[in-house]
Amino acid sequence: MVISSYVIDTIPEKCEEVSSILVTYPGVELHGQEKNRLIVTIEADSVDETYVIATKMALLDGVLNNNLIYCNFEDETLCD
Amino acid sequence: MELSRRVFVKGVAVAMAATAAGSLVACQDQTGSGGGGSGTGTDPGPSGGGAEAAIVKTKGVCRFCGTGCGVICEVKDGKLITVYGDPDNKSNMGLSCVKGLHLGQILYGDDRFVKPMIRDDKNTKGTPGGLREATWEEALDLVSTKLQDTWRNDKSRLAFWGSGQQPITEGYALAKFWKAGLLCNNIDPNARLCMASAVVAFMNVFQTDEPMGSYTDLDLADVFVTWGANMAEAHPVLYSRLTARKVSGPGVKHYDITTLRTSTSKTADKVLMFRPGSDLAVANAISNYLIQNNLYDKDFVEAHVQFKEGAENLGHAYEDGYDASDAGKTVNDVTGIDFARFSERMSTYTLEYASQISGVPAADIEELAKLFGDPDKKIMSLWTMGVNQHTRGTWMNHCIYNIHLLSGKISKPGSGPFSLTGQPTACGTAREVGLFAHRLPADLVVNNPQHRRYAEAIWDLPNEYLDAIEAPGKHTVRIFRDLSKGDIDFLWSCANNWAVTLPRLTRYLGKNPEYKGIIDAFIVVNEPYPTLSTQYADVVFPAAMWVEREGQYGNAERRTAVFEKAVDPPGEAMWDTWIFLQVAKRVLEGTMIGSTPAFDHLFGFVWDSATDDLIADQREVNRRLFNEYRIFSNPDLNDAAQAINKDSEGKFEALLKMENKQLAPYDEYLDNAALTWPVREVDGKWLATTWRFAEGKQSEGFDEVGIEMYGDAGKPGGVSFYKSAGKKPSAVFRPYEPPAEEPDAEYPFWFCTGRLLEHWHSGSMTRRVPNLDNALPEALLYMNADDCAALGISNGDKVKVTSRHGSFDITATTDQRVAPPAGMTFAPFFAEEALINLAVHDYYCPLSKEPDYKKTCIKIEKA
Ligand code: SF4
Repeated sequence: MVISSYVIDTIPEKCEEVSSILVTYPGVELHGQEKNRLIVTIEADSVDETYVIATKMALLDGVLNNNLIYCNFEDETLCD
Repeated sequence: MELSRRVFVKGVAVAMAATAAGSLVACQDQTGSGGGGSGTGTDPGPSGGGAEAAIVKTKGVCRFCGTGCGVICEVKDGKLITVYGDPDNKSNMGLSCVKGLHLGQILYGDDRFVKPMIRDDKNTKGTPGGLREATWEEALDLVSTKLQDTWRNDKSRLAFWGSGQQPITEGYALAKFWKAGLLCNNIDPNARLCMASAVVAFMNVFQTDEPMGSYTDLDLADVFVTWGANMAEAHPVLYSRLTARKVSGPGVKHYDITTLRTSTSKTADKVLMFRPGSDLAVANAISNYLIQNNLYDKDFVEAHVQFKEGAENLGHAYEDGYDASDAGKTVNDVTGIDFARFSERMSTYTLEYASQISGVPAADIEELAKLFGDPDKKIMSLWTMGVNQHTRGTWMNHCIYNIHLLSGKISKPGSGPFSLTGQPTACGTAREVGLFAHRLPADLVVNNPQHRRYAEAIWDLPNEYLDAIEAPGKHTVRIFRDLSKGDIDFLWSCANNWAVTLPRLTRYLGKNPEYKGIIDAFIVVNEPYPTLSTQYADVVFPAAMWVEREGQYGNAERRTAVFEKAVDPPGEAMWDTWIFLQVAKRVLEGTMIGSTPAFDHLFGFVWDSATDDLIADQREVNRRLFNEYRIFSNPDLNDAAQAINKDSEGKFEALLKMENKQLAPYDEYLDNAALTWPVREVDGKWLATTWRFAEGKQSEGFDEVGIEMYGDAGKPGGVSFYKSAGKKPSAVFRPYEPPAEEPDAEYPFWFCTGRLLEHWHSGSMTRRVPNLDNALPEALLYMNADDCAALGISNGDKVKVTSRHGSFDITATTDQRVAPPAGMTFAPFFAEEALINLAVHDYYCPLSKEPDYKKTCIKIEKA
């Protein structure tokens, strides 16, 4: 299990919309909001999967920046 | 992952994000209102001050790793209640790692030393008991008498083992006491175990210690190369910046060059797994590829690089007399050569040859070499213990610089070689104030007469007074080898836990009947907590820790930061500066410098004659010590020093260019955020330098003032290495030479040691934090599953590990957190109950004298 957390900067008017979409992604949880910043975690099976979701979040309309804050991947099995 | 662990990890992830988000928002708000001051004072903090008692905020710096994250401490009713990332600190911008989140708790373990302790019976050494409480007077008098006796009898039989965790002013006062007061060079820091190879290479290549670039490069690079560095666990916040860049920058790549898969390998785009010790061959193959394929930056090389080769076939420090042997005496020899000769020497290192030595596929080396050959790619190399703790550690540092010098990827935003550090102030204190056996403050060395004259000028000493310390003292391994043989009578240490972190502990701790010196020697330890080292102490001074006093740290990007005193130390614990000067006052009694008592001469400016004690105001003591120390890098503050700096009388061979490391007045660091040196005064403002030797505006972080003073503008690459001899750093050819031990039938496995995220160094602080202790309660031996199967070892079995130097018991695991290839093993060194250093050898890099903790050969048996 890879657990990571993010602070997502949004365009303030789009903040609500972004957060409502984010929570539908698998493994994504919303933990709070500081003005236009969303505090989010992703739980996924691998780093690769994490990045897929993180990238998807970053590309959402209304997202300015997706800051990775912490990522724990101690359970990740070996690549190749 | 077990549920409890998962909950813990997720809690940390959320807490960190919340902290960062909160700080970032706060930071924006401040900017809006024209704020940006120190951010300290009294106001309700995020912990929810509200109508309750006011929360006092002070500025701090994390106590742990070399990242040097700025933190804000919140104090309520005299107790530290919260610590979180400081958004004003440019090193971490509000982030902190899991250890940082638990910083406050390190002060509140329930077994702090609150009184001085004395051991009356040496036979109790090495046991948890045997120490009794004493008064300060008794303990100080006893230590001073022992030190004075040894000092008067034979200075070579005393030693101080300092630390890259001692604040800058404390280290400075200590260095001055030892070098100018005792006229003794037997002082060395634990940084010898982590940064010495980096230091020697910096001096050899650039004639200045510490990196050209900064952490900002992490936000800008196109390619990251980690050389034997598990940043994800050992430098977590920097790794977050790296991964954030990877996630946000298009096409950003990360190559991890390593001997075993770590958490850092897991996110890398490519892992280049090499045979231990063969990284020199891989690096040389990259340099050779650049030369052979005309991919090096010709204009840059022509303008900025000189070439050398040096002494080779150095052998290894198997014997105590190595340094004085024929090989040992010549290790620093180098000769200037031309580029043709350099290329010819390098030409052996074809991709195929390097691949044969290292096991790294030739195509992978070529792929990386091509990136270095691409003028449009910004590349950052990052390394730490894998390169430094290496029997050819200095050489390996050289090999990395060779690549960056050949490709011109240095001193440019987003591009450069970056040596990471392991401790919060390995740079700021151990290196910059001169705690090494061969150094004086600010990169000066004892065996250079011009350097001694300069230090004499600042310390107001008679001409040639420091000639008494012309010969470098004993380095760390020598100190402890000598101690074990009974050749050291007095040893004092501070801010380290040598009985866990030194190599070859079977010998050093007297577990071997030939080596009982540790029992007979008089040992003094300044410590907040009982550790394995205090079990060998004759006297323990109870030390104030971290923000229980004011101090300063200097991190890996040359950033000097003040941490304010936030709370009082418990019981009778005192700060180390007070302890050092109380002892200095007693030991120097009766010694004169010219016509004044030595102590008054050296430390009168921080001593209150009315109370006959250190000035009570800690801020003032720090300010005075720092402002004297900064004269070393501001020669215009002292006419005699300036004359030597400029060589006004033509007595010496060169200008010293001491402004190269210029520091600002103390109060600048209090009023503003931490600053990266050189700090320059421009129009009445002190401005930091982000990229040394790079042309551009000082206000934008470039080295404008330095280049104006000593360099040349308009050179290729927009850089001028004004501190280097002839303004040209040296590319030195360094060949691959085999490690000190290689696996054989009797000891078939490599054993590599290191750190893991939850615990810092010997665990004396982090293991007292329940959350961290629960998250990683035990040090494990990470093994390859095939090796385990072959030996009939199952996950969780107790095993006995034996090397030529000692043995220890530990639990084996095939957990993939650290995943060694067949033939390789790994264990962290935080746990004294699995004391891995009993078996680790102490063979060191012949140039830096830094031991290699990564390549001991072992056998493994089921216990
Ligand atoms: S341990 Fe290192 S990365 Fe973590 S908060 Fe402290 S300085 Fe920052």
